[in-house]
Amino acid sequence: MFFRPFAYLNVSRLVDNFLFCGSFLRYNVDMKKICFSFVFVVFLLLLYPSAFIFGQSGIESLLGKSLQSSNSTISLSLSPTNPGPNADVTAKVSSFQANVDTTNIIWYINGQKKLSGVGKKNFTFRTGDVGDTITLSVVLETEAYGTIKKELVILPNSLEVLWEADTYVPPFYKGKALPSSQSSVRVIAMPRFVDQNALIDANSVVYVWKKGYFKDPDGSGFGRNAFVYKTGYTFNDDEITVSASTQNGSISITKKIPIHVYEPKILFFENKPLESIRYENALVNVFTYAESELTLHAAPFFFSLSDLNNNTASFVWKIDGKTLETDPENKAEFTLRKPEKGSGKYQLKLDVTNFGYDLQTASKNITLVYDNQNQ
Amino acid sequence: MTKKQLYITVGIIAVVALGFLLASYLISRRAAESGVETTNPFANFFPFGKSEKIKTTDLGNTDNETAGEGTENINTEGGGGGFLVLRTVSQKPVAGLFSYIRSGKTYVEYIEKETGNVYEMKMEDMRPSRLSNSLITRVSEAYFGNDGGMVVLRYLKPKSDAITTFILDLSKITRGTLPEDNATTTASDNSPLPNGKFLASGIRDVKVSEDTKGLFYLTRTGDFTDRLSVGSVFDFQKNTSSDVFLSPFSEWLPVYFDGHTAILQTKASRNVPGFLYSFNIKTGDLQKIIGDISGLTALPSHDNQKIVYSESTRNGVTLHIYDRKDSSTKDFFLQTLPEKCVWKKDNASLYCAVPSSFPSGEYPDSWYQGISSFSDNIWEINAITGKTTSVFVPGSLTMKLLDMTNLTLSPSEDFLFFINKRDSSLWAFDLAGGWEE
Repeated sequence: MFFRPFAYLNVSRLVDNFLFCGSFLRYNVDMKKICFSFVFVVFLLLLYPSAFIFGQSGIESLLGKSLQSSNSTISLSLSPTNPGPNADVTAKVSSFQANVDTTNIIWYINGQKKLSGVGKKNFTFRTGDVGDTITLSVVLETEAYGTIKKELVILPNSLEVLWEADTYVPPFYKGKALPSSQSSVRVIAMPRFVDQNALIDANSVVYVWKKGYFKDPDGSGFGRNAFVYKTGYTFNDDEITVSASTQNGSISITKKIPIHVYEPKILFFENKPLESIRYENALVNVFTYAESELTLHAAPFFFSLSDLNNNTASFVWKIDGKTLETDPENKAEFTLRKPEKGSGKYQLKLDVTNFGYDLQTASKNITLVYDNQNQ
Repeated sequence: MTKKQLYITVGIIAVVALGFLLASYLISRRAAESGVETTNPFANFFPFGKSEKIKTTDLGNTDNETAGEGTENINTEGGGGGFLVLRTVSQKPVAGLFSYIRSGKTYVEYIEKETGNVYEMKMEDMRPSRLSNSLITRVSEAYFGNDGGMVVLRYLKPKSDAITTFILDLSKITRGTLPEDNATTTASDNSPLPNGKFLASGIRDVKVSEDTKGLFYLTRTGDFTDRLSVGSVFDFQKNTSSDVFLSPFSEWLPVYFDGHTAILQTKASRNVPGFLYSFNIKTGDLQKIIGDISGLTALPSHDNQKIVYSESTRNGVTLHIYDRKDSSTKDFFLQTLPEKCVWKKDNASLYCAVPSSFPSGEYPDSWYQGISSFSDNIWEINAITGKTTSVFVPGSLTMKLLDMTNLTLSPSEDFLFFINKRDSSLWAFDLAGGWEE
């Protein structure tokens, strides 16, 4: 009954009274009580705003009459929104009714208690394999509304998108071949869909492919899980979107990936007569050679592989500005003999151009030093 | 205290101090003369001294040494045959290695790149023994299988990027017959050539199984538009291959194989999200383990329960260990690539070669491409507790810069072998504790 006169006060008026309360305190002792009353009421308002929103029922809950709450008053969100199998997922609970920061929150996975505590509004867990259903439950133990529960059933399905470029990397290279301008890229969708406890074959899924904003009707369709396209210009990103759906539409996931376009480049390696090409160590800028001859092997990283195979790329070797004759059967290599006497250096340059594509060009310079005097 | 007592006290202190100084000097000098590495026990006694390993022998390579003779003789001069904790096993380029125990002694077997010859070395006496005659030259990669009874040799065809894969049968070669007076060769020039067989041409990547009985390898079929990756298993004992894996994506790198499960990593580049999948050979199921990690490279433990992996950052990489049992991840301050690590048998800890710094570049690309080289120190990482311990700093033992790859532990984990990527030389570090008499 004490609070009833204040139940209908609007918030702005309360704030005004509260702000002026300090000045009353200094002059009038009676006003002190009023001020304390105001402070107490404001405090209650902050704690239980719903008391004023819902009127009397809220006040009654404060007096210990627990209300039956429905789970519609809280929401449960997941990140990522559609978690795949074996994925780390963060669940977050929020409520417009209860203050989740001051409420005891209990998290359950498949009925087993996993986390509890005041303000534990975030909970991270891991999904199982495809088809392994997870029932995520959260319980809020509020003073005002009693126990509130929310439940979510998660059935992990996933769509991974991988890609590979048809560009050159040397044999034994452990890294990824990167796309250069106007090279071919193949994007592969790898769905893991479970429908009625059965894993759906990737070839039985319907795919819709888009490059940028444009759908590719020829590349899309039933079982079309790979999409091939030509890249754009260097340094830009090609944006590829794929939507994968089951035939009956019960499961559908869309993914968008950016594919960056890189510059091709040349790296020199020493081809040792006995040891083979030393791909472990590139020759950078300046190289001093001691043997009577040096065979340089050029690796045209990220040039279109099919064009290199079809001999549509030119290799022009220059030494101190003069173009060199090279073995047409092995144009990526050049052998340099060391003068028998003295010391000196050569400026070696290689230009590689893919005739088919203007932007697939690269140059590389290296200074080769020999010194017979210190041997 | 009388003046006499004071003089006696000062005198005793002075004599003791001089004694320590003299002993310290003599120990240092003896170590320097004998060519062994040791720690001066008195160095920390005085405030002006600092304990440090005394480096007296440079194990730097010379280009002109021949196979066998290329092994650094690091016997101490009159020192009782002690060896440095860090030893050069082969200065000649090595394509692959395998360690085993025979009669309670640790051995290492390795393939010389230039000749394709198989060498064996008993770590106790550090004398190499050639076990086979030259059959295949210019070998780029070698992987031992079937407990050392077979070796997979991978090399390029002349003037070509095509990789040839040859299985060399070593089961009939004679081991452990190193004569006392011959430190280099046991195989005679008239010895029959070992048997072998070619695997399919164009094998892109291979992985020997944990029990060394099988080999998982990947080939490609079709042109780029319709390309398929085919995974096959070669059984070293049955001498047969069977196809087990088919995928429209072909840039896989097998990083683990135990006969039943292959762990496949997408080939890494700094700015490209990487994924790690587990492929069950029996069910044909391909499941993601971790993914969406920039520049991901990974190395599973022997029991396939923990995975050490790296993630590319602007300044290099970060190192993590993922536990498959509870899906937890531990982050480590050490910066290195899993290719520079080896798991111990307990699957709880691992040794990693950790670069002292990352030169500017994009990793792992710059390292794979040979643009950047590292100078590594060895650390031990406990995957359970997260504790990291510095094991040794090669800079205190050799002037050589060591960019370590192919880290391999001996079966009793008393030696850590590695290949220096800078020149493909083979090294051994004595984990059992320094040098022996």
